[in-house]
Amino acid sequence: MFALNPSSGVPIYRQIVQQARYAIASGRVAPGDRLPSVRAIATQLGINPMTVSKAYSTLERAGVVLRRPGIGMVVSDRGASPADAIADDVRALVQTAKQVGLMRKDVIGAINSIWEDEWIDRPIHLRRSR
Amino acid sequence: MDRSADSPAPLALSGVSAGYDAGKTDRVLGDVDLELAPGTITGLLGRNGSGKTTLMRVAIGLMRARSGTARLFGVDSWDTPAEVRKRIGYVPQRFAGFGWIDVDTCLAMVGGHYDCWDYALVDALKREWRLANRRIEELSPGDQQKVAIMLAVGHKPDLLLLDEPAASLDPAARRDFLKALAELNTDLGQTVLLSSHITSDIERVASHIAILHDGRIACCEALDEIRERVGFVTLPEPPPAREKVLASHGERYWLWDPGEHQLGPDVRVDKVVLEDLFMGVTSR
Repeated sequence: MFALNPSSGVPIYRQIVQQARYAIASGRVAPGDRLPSVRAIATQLGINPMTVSKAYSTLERAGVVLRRPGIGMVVSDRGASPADAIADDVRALVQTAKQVGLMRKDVIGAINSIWEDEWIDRPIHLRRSR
Repeated sequence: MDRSADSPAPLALSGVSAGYDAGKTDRVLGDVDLELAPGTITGLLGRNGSGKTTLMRVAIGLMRARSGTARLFGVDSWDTPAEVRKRIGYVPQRFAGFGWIDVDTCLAMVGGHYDCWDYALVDALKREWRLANRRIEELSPGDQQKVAIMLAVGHKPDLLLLDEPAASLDPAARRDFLKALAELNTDLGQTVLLSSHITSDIERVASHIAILHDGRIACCEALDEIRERVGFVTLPEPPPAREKVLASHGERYWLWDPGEHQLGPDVRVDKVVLEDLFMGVTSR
């Protein structure tokens, strides 16, 4: 379920949070579905179990998942909105834009110019299950 | 087990110096401070010959510090009673097992010395790692490393020290080993000190890093803190806020909270690449 890049400089727990949100927003994981256990993820990926717990706590605080005793982490009815899937990317975009002194309209203009590009429609399809 | 904040740290080194020459002309460790919080996995990074093995040996009382203190659960490492030693597991760099016997015999021999040996845990690991009824000298280095790990965790230690456990393993075996470590840590929640010069292993499994250089711990931080708060920049001269510099090498700086430095739009702030930070800290 998760493809991590530990060398990317992005905290591993954030990568898990982001990918879980994406999976939920895209409908690959539906409300009521159970997420893999901390043990399963830590063992499968060879990462620190506390990192997985941290990711799940973050998702729980955001209301994306619920902790069901005896069952584990379950996707909430609210789940994640499609906007959640791009939240981290947008934050990084805005950060870089501010760093180089771009104005808000410049960024929006840059997005608009790419939006109509036919190649953009190819690789990723967001699908809503509801 | 008591993991409250006021219980003594599993491992605490303070001002430790150590060396091997009786005349004290060498100095492997100069002034080492390191404290491990319960349940953390700390990656001890250092170049070849930086003293990682010496630090571990002093930490668990296989070697005496020339000065400073080394404490295990609050007790002097050089003078630890059996009840404290029982709480420690150690995987040395080279597995010095008995090649001609099989894994089961080896485990039984070591397990017999402990009243708290967890036969169920060791049997489960042996099955999972497919090591039952196999002669140790016939095992690959990776599988021998797993035997060493079973020997070190059978008594369910609260503190586990692993000295370059993955150095001789190929990438697939290293990944296997990290999975095994993550699995054990999920089930037992031990505090772990894991030395390596392979940063990609450390950044995967560790919660903290400690970089040993020039006989001292030159950098010791939580990895997520570094990833979330530190930025890498190239600057022609040092930034005014010196206390915000985590590390520097030439014109390269690793800065805490780079947004607070008023660096100007022409300075590009990049994410931290642990390998570069390691190189920067250890090439001074």
